[in-house]
Amino acid sequence: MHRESTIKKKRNIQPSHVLYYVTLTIAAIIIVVPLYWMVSTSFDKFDSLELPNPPRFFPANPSIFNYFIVFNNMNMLKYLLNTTIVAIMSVVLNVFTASLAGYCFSKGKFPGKNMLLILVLSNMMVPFESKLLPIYDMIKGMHLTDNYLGIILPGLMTNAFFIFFVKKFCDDLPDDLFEAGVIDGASKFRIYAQIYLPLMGPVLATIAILDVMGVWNDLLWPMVVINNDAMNTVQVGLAIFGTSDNMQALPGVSAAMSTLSVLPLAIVFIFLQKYVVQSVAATGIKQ
Amino acid sequence: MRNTAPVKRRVFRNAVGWYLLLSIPLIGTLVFNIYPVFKTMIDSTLNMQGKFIGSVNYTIMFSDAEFHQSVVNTLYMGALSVLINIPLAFILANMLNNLPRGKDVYKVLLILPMITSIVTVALLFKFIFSPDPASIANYVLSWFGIDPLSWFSDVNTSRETVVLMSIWKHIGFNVILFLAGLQTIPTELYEAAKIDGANERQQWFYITIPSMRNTFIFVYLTSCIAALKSFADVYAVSGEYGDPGGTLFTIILYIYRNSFSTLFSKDIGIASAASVFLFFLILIITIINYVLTENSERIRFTIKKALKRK
Repeated sequence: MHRESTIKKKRNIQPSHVLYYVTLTIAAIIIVVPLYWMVSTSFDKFDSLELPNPPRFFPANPSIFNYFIVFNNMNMLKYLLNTTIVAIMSVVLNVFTASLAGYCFSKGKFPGKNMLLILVLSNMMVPFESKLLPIYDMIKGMHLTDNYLGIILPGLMTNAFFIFFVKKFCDDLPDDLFEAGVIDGASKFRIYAQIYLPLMGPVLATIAILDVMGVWNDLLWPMVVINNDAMNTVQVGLAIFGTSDNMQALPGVSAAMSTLSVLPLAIVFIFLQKYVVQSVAATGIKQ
Repeated sequence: MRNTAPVKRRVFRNAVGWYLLLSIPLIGTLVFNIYPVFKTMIDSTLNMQGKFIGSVNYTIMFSDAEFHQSVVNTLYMGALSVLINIPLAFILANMLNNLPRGKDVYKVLLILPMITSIVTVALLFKFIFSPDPASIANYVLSWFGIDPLSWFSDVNTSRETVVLMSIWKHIGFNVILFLAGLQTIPTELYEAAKIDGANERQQWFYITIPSMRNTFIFVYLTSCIAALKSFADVYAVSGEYGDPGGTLFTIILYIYRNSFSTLFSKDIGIASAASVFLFFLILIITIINYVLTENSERIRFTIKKALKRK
């Protein structure tokens, strides 16, 4: 019996483990190399348009020259600012609307609850791309083009996935808290705000992370809804840069622009790695 | 008969409170989901002047060679990426699951591409996979004695290179999903099998893979749907043209070109028709997902019951 438990925790290195480590390390290298090259190249001042042969991974002429070019010739600062504002707005609004809706569907008792739930969840079934045209017309009609609100509104109104997430989480929270709140005479909203919301920390963090990444990296919608370049987001700026004919051939400048576009999320990532991994895992757990 | 009116009134007032709190998602769903779906369907039957022309747009679309090409491209790139991505992610997840130490380090490293957008990746990969013999990709090829390729610029390799790019970006995500699924398999199953004399390979085939059925289906279907919606990756590489030679032209690019293009003539009716087509394609796949996962619950239950009986 004693031997059974020690068999599970083999301390000696098995040959299969060596294979696993080698394979995973190769995979990790393949993943990391492009990102490392991007950062290294961005700090390298190139003399010509040609790529150095063999590829360089340490800057031969370290400088922030490329970054100067980016900031002088492109509205990169504006793009970063716009995207940051949009991301913060979206996260705040999404967290509150999704948590409130999830709470209602979880703790509320009202006729037609299941029907309404299905109605809201139907948002998940329809791809945004299929609704692109009418949504654009509507946003234009509301005069919200070239507007931060216009960028986040469609996503905000169709965040069924987040609502579903919160509902699942709320289902695991005890109903007694709700009863207690009712006895004390609190309104439904107060029960949400003062009892359940503080308990929703983990799921809200998950939603926040997923939303930040989604909003920051979105290309299609911002590109469609913004006509004034000063309001563009980082991704649209990158896309314009990448498909224009002038500077995209310069590896250093492209790398600098890419590094800048990744930097804010990278910082979030560094501090919240564990939560990011959990968020990804959580999206699959619902199945 | 007791007067039930006051109770009904109370229930009604109670319900109104909930409806009020839910007003934002409900209105949002109606305005941004239900209405657009119907409007797109209606638009697909109108011509450019807004006159009703029935299924003419669909006829035009289905006989448009460019539409055919967009569907072929989308399906080809989708199938290729799914066929490589999922088995690879599963194998890596299994290896990761069996590591005695260092799981977290690898998890974080593999998921790093998540912080990039597909636009950033495309820009980056245009250099890494540049036709230039000095690009990293061609340099690596030279280690194996293979001549440099044109990657994105060559009609024969452009789609495969895009698929490579997509795999690089998404593999970490899928590995984490599979890992989470693997960790939900109860260890009692493995112990029971070991007692019955099953070796590692048998355990893998008869416990691991069947238990992962739900996760497999989930990953497979979300990957398929994401592949059908492919826009940013090809747009960032080739712009509206879907070059080279239209090989990177996808369905969404077709819709985009017909509705927002500044270079080509627009036709909202055809764009709407394509949107409806895409909608039903994704709907069918989602329904298949639902049907398949419903059945799998019974299979898992049977496995557990069988083992308990032993």
